[in-house]
Amino acid sequence: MLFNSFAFFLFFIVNTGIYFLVPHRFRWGILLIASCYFYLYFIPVYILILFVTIIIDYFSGLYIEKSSSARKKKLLLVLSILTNFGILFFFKYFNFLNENLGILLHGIGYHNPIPYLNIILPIGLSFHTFQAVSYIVEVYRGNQKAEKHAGIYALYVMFYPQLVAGPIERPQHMLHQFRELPRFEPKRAIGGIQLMLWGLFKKAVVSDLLSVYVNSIYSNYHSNTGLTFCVSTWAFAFMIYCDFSGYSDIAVGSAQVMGFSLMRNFNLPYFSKSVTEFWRRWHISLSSWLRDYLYIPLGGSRFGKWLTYRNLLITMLLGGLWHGASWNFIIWGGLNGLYLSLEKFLGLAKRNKITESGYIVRFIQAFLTFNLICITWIFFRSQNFDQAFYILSNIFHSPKFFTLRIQDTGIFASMLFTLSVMLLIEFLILRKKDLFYQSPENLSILRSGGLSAFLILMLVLFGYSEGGQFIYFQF
Amino acid sequence: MKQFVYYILLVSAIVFTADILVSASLDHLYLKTRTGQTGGKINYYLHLPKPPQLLIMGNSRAFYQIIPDSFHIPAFNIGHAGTDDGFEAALLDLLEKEHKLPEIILLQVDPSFYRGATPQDDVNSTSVNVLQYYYGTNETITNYINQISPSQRFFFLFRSYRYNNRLINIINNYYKTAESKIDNQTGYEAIPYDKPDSINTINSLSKALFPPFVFAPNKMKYLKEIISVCKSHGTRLVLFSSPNFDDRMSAYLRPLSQKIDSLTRANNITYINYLEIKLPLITNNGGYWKDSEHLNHRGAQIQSHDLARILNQSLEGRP
Repeated sequence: MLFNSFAFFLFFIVNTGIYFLVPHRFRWGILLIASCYFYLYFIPVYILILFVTIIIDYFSGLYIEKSSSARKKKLLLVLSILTNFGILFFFKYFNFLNENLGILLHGIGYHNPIPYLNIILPIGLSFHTFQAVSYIVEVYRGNQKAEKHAGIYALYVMFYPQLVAGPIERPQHMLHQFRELPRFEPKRAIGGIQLMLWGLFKKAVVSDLLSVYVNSIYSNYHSNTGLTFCVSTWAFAFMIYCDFSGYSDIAVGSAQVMGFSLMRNFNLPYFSKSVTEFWRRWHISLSSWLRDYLYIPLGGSRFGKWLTYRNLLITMLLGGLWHGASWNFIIWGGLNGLYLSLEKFLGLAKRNKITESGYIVRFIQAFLTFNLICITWIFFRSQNFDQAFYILSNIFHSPKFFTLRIQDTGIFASMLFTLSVMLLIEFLILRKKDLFYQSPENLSILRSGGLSAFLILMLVLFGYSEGGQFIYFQF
Repeated sequence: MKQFVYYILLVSAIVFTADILVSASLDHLYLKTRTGQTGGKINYYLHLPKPPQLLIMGNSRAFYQIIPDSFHIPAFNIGHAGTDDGFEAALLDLLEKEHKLPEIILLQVDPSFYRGATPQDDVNSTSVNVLQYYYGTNETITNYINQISPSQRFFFLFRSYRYNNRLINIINNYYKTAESKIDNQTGYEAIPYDKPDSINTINSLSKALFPPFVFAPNKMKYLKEIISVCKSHGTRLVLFSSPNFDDRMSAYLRPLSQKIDSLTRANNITYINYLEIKLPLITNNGGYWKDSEHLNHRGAQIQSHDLARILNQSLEGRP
């Protein structure tokens, strides 16, 4: 079930209504049933995979806590992580590795005997795998008590607002909320609805409009040149941002209506003045996961600068691979790792250095950062290396650079208009006029009502009612 | 709870009022547009004192390729890019209700529309949305749009939704109409010759894909509807399929054009099939093409003259 579908609209109203009507002790059950129903909308049989990992992780957590032997604790941790990543590997990376093995063997004159598996990636597998691993590691580290209630643990993994595309939550932040199951708070609910509308506006209006233009250029890339690629890559940068942050806002907002608090996944990333800052603001739940469970265990920045660069590169390469089994994603991650290492090496990422600079310098920094990130998006969006290098070479070396191809001026104009509205609102948020993430006490019902009505009208006039799937669902 | 109810009432009141104001303003603008693909061209046709003898209908392969002036009789091209049989059937119903049916309809049909993964495949045309202004006032258009998805009924509760994704186009077309002389339109829009387009067309040969398909007879429902409406009003219907740059594509789609041929024979309708008719000048000549499916103005002149010649023969009863 997609957040931008009418089915979800009905599902959310019915489920939230029932949730608040039933007695407190049954609410976790209602949420779990709703989450199962939500997941069954995709490929029903794959829910069994979720059940298997939930059972293994649930018992692993209990036994890790119970066990007094450090060796046994470690063994259980490894078993649980291997199960989670084993399933992820099988569905996501097996064919990729097999294909590359085939190329390698072909190069030395051998035939690869391992067959290609005709399997579809279960939706949200990368997200709930990371969330489950987070639980088991935190229990192992002693930061979280093992959850005794199997239903509550299942809900931690399956909570429908964040089941298929995050935010990737931590057990310390979520598990106690499922036990408390807060009551209906009108102002919190209003804030949640407003956030859902903002997310829907970003997805169904801005991102879906941008995708029409971006897809028309990237699908016929041989017919296009320099400036067209620049504009379409900038458009893709906003398209993926609005798509994913839109999803996250709907997730956070829908949870907030029910009284739950999910972590903020994006914080105006394109206003960043360095790549380091960008990664503090982009997909925060993944970047903090990678920091806590990969970068720091690898040594972080504790063992000298060269090992820090190595750790950054490894973390970002694996972060790229997390997105998809393709060399394009690995290059995307590698480039980001390279940027981060270079910024560290040159000392460009120091926060006070940035905040001290003047307005114009900060604008130039933000513009440069945005364009550096856009270069990485070319690899992210392209189908293969040939396409990515063709586009890159045409941007930097094109005899007809200033030819801008616009297939439908109406769509292009709508795209610019809605993008401007989105950026204006984000600029207001940046200027501390927080419209969506304010605390319930500060919420003005009049202002919220006006803003919500404006967003609804924008959806009516510019929204794609049968819009496409969210990009991050494929990860 | 009181605060929540107040919020809901406030939002509903603002949305309700704004919806009425916005839709009334857009109604005013829309009805004055006489050009463009978001209804202006249809408005122009509906406001003609008398319908022309020949009406050319179809998608971009009619709109950009058939020049009404090539015919010996008064003609108008009402083709809309990106549309399909569903749109044509809905448009025909609108013309019927508005008493604007012409004597002859020259309808472009794309054989690829009847492709399916299984013979049971059906389709609910989404291009009917081009006519969403008439939702609620034209029964056929309303039904066709409702068939797209159950949520459509909900979205159309907002009157402004009739202008969904066309607000800027309508404003633009309104100013175009106000500024320019739009009398004596033919409805045709030329694609000028462009050398890179020609090169890309030739290069497209190496990238053509021919996935397997079966004929899906259910998808002919709109075409059958069109035939039925034309028969009941005594409007002469002539079908044609536009040529492809790649001969392999014509051969690939042949089983489907044969099905159209069978249907037209059974209904005593002329079908001019450019998948079979060769136009020597444009065959394998990238200079006449915008891409592998669309002729540029140079190519359009050749196809239009040939189509006019065959249509003339057909009208005169010659084979």
